[in-house]
Amino acid sequence: MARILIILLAFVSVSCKSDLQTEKGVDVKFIVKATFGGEPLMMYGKDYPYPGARLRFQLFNFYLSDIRLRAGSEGQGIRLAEVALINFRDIQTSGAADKGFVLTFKNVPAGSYTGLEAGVGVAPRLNATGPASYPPPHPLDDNYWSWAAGYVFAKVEGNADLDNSGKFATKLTFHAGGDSFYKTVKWDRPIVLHRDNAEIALTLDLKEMLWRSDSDFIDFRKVTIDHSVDKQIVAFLLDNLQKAIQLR
Amino acid sequence: MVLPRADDFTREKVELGKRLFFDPILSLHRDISCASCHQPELAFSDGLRQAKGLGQLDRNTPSLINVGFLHKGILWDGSIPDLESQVLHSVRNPLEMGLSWPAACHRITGKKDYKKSFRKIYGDESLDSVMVASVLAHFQRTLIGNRSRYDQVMAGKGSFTPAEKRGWTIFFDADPKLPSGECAHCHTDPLFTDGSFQNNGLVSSRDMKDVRVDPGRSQYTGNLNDRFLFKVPSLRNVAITAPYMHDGRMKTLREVLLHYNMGGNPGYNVSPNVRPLKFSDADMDDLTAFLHTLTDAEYLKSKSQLKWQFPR
Repeated sequence: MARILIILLAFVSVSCKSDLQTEKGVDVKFIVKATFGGEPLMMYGKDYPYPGARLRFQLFNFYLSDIRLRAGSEGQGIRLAEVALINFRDIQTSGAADKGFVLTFKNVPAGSYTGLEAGVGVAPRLNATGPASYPPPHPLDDNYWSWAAGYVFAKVEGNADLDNSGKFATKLTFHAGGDSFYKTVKWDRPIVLHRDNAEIALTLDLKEMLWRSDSDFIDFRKVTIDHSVDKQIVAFLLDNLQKAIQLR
Repeated sequence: MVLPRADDFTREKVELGKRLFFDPILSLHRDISCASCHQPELAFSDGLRQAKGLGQLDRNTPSLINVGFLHKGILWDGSIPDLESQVLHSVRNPLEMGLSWPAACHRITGKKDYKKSFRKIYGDESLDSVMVASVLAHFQRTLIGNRSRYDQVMAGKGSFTPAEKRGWTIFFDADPKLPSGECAHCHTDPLFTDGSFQNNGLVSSRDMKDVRVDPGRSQYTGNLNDRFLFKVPSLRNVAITAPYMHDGRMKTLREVLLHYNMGGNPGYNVSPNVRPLKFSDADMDDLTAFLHTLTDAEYLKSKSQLKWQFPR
């Protein structure tokens, strides 16, 4: 079952109330669902076809920073959270995958919004901090990597079966991060929040993070690990992740 | 640090908790205190392979240093949510201290100095297990390890030897020209644990079928994917908290490093970060040198010299 992380500093800030048809605040369900090649993404329980391999996953998570409902002109709207860790570690069954990873943002002004925006990764001002700066539990308790690039923006861990033996003996660890790879993504699509229906749903396909085409993908026969050492791999992964996330 | 909301953190509670921590009054035969298994000079561990209270337990005694920062569950399987619950559990557990809570409270109120101290904190309320657990938890939250050589170096008040520096580099995968230790994925600084639960490849494929093998976290969660997962222990003071692993099977840091160097046993839920590492003897020597810098000498002192810190 998806675990709901408490987002400290997730208080809602209203920068321009006049553009919003505001009612009383509502609790917004922020749902992120993941697939792999169109199949529901589950940790441990499912194998997925991939060029030259079959894959099983144990961990997939990533940060979103400054999650913001947009309204009116540039810079206006509502900040839903300063940072959130979208974590599929506990999505281990088809039922859990169907529900997705869910956060709840409290007391968000109901009304009409023009879209959503979020930074994929940890915003540089937050990436310069560390776990000691935050009383637990907090999204920035996890994925810290002090000496290097601050926080790991995204983690993909699992196993590959490269020889069709069914043993999944090849271990995969990809940890990507770094200020220069942080990017804000904007999704233009009307969002209406009201008391009976206050949901925001994102989807992504993890395969799109690892694979662009059969001639352009992370080839696990050649590389099984990267901790943001190979900047080409980091750029490939995080750029793909940013593009893979869709607002539904 | 995780602090109970409705429970103000006070010096009086900490001092009272400290007295009780070292007093065997809370054990059935008045011969075991919290400090019997959590000895200051061993960073609040006990040096035994597996803990021994009134009976023999099957897991290694964890250090209490920085235990107040753990918020994903206490004990090797995370089955205890907080320090107060852990105190309530250990006092009445027949294998640990084996005393019922009514009997424990009766004993404490029978001692004038304790009665007076509790009354000073809680007024005229009748003493109950929650109050006792609270003061003991308060004391444990003051066991903060942040005065090691590592901390001094990080604060710019000291420097590593060349061996320690090289060990640090391997530990944190900080130089592609050196072997990657893959240690800091789970042993994340500054606590040197991320508080997560991992299968680190201790269990062989043969032992996986043996029902006597400790199933770890799955016993608590009921989730088969949690089989053989145990809490990632902090490495602070690791040089003085042997033996190692949840069952104390490894006597030395070298054994631990050899285990990880081999890549652990295979298993469908073994962490992908546990993989063959290609360490040389020199690499392991330097890693060991670095791990020794995590010792906070403040906790090698006797209880009378012990200085606790208010958590922030």
